[in-house]
Amino acid sequence: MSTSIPYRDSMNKHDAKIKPVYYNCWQEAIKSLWQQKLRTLLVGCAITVAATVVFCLLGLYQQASHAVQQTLNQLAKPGLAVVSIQPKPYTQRPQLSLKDAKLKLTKLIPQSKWTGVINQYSNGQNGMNKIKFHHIISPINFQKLRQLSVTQGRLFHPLDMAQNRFCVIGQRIAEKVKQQQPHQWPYYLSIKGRIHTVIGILEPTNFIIGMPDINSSVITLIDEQQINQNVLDYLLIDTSKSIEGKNITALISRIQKQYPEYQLQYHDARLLTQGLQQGLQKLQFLLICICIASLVIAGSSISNSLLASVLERRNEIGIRIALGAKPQDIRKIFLCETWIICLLSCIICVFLGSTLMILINGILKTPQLDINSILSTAAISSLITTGIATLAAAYPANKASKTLPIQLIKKST
Amino acid sequence: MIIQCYNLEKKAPQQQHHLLKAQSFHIQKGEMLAIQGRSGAGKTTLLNILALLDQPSAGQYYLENKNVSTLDATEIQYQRQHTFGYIFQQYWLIEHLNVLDNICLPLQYLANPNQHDHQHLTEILNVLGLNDYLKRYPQQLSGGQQQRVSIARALVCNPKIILADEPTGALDQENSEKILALLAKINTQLGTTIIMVTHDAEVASKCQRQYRIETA
Repeated sequence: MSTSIPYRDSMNKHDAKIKPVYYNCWQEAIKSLWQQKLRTLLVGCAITVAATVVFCLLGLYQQASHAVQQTLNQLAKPGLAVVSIQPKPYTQRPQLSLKDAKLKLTKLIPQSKWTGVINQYSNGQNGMNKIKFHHIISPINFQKLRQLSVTQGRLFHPLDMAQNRFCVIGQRIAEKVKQQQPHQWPYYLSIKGRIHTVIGILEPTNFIIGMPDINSSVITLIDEQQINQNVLDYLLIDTSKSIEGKNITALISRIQKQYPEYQLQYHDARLLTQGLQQGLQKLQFLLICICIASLVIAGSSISNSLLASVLERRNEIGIRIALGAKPQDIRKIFLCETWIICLLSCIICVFLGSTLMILINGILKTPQLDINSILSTAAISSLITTGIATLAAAYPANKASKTLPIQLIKKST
Repeated sequence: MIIQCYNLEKKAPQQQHHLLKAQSFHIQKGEMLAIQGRSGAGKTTLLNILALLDQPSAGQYYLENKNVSTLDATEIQYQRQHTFGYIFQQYWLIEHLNVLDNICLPLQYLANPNQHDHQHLTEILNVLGLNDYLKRYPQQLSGGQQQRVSIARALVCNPKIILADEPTGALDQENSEKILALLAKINTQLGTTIIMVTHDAEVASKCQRQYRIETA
C-alpha cells in the first residue's frame, strides 16, 4: 500500500521522525484530568470527603466495639454470677447498742488511717444547715479518738465511708441538732455544702484532745487511704466449680442473711453479656445508618460531578464513536479517570482520616487504633467510595456509549 | 456499487416534518461525488446516515451490498473504523488533545495501532502542512488549520470512503485548491470513494458527478 500513496513524493527525511504517541487509557485519562483541573479537583474533593467520612465512622465503630468487646470477654465466662451490692438506706440498718456502736467505731478506726479536722462551732443561731466553722485546727491523728466515748451509733457501710462524709459532734451541737431534727438517729449536718452523717456524739467529760470547748466542736473524719478502693461494686461468684448455676439464688439468699446491711441483687452474666451485645448491635446499626446516610449524600455528590463530567463531554464521546471507538473504549476512558481520582482521593483520605482519628482520640481520650485497624478501615472505606464512584461514572458513560454519535454531537451544540 | 440508497428519509424526533427526503441513488466504488442542495435540504443529514452516525426513519441503505439496518453494533463500529473517514463541517477536534493526538485518535481504536504505517501519517502531515502545529491544541489554531487537522484525521486510517462536509468551507483559495487536489489524487490513485457536501459550484464541478437533494 505504501508505494501507491500519491503524496509520498512530498515527504522528506526529517518528517520521517514524526511518530504518533499511542496512549493507553491510563495515560489518556491522566492527560484529560490534567487538562480539566477544576473538574478533577471537584470530583476528587467529593470522593475524598466520602472516603474520609466512612473512614472516621468505621474507625470510631471499631474503637467502640473493641472497648465493649473487652468488657464482654470479662463477663462472658461460663458459670459466672454477678451480684451487685447496694447498701441499704441508713435508716433501715439495724441500730446498734451503745456497746456495739463503740466496738464498731473503735474497730473501724484503726483499720485505716483516719484524721479528724476539728472545727469549732461559734454559735448555733444561724441553724445547723448554715453552721460556720471559724476555728479550724490542723489535722490530728484520729487514733486519739479511740479514747473518745461514743454515746449512740448505727451501723454504717463502707460505701458511706468512701464518701468521707462523717463527723463526730460535741454535746452542745448534738442538742441543737436534736432540736432541729427531732426524729431519731441518725442526724445529719451540712458542712461546707455537703451533708455529713453524724456517727457519734462526744462525751462532755473527755478533754484528751485538749480542746477548750469540746462540746461545741465538730470533728470531720477524713480517710487518708481512700477506702473506696477496697469497696466492692459487685461480687463475681464462679458458679462453675462448686455451685450449680441454678443454686445461685439460694447461695445469694444465704449471703444476704449473713450480711443484712447489704442489698444483694443477682444478675446472670449471660444476660448481662446479651444486653451488652444488643447495645453493641444497636451502636453498630446506628453507625451503619450514619455511614449509609453519609455515603448517599457523598455518593450523590460524586454521581452528580461525574454525570456532569460525562454530559459535558458528550461531544467528545460522539466524536470518538464516529472515529471507531467501541462502547468499552468509552467506558474505559471514564472509568480510568474515575479510578485515578479515587486512588488520589483515597491516599489523601488515609492521611486526613488518620489525622482526624488521632484528634478525635485525643479529645475523647480513647486508646489509639492499631495500624492493622487503620489499614483495614482505609481499605474498606476506599473500596466503598471507589465502588460508588465507579457506578456513578459507568452508568452515564455506558448510556452515552450506546447512543447514536450524531445525537451526542447535536446535544452538545 | 459501494453505496445504494433507496428513498432515504429522516424525520425530526417527535415531529412530523422531514429533515431529509432523498431520491434513490447509487455510488460506484472509486467515484467522487458532490452532494448539493439548499440549506436545510438535508445534505449533512444524508452524510451522517451514510457514515453510519445516524439512522434513517425510512428507506434502505446498502453498503457494499449489505443492508445496514441488519448490521449489529460491532459491525457498525467496524465499518465506521475501517470504511469511513469523516471530515466534519465544524471540525470536532477534541479540546484536550493536541494536533498529533487528535489526528492519531482513529488509530488508537484499531486492533493493533502500533503496526500502522507511520510513513503514511508523516506524508499526510507534510501535505497538509501541519508539521509546525503538532504540539498545539485546537484552541490555539485558526479555523483553516483546524479544518486541515480534521482532514488529516479522516485520512489517517486510509479509509475506503471519505465523507467530507464542506471540506473547504473554512479555507482560503490556495488551501482549498490544495485540499481538493489532494482529495482528487487520493480518489484517482488509491481509488478511494469521495462523497463531498458543498455549496460551492466550482468545488462541485471538480467532482465526477453531482447529486442534488431537493428541500425536504
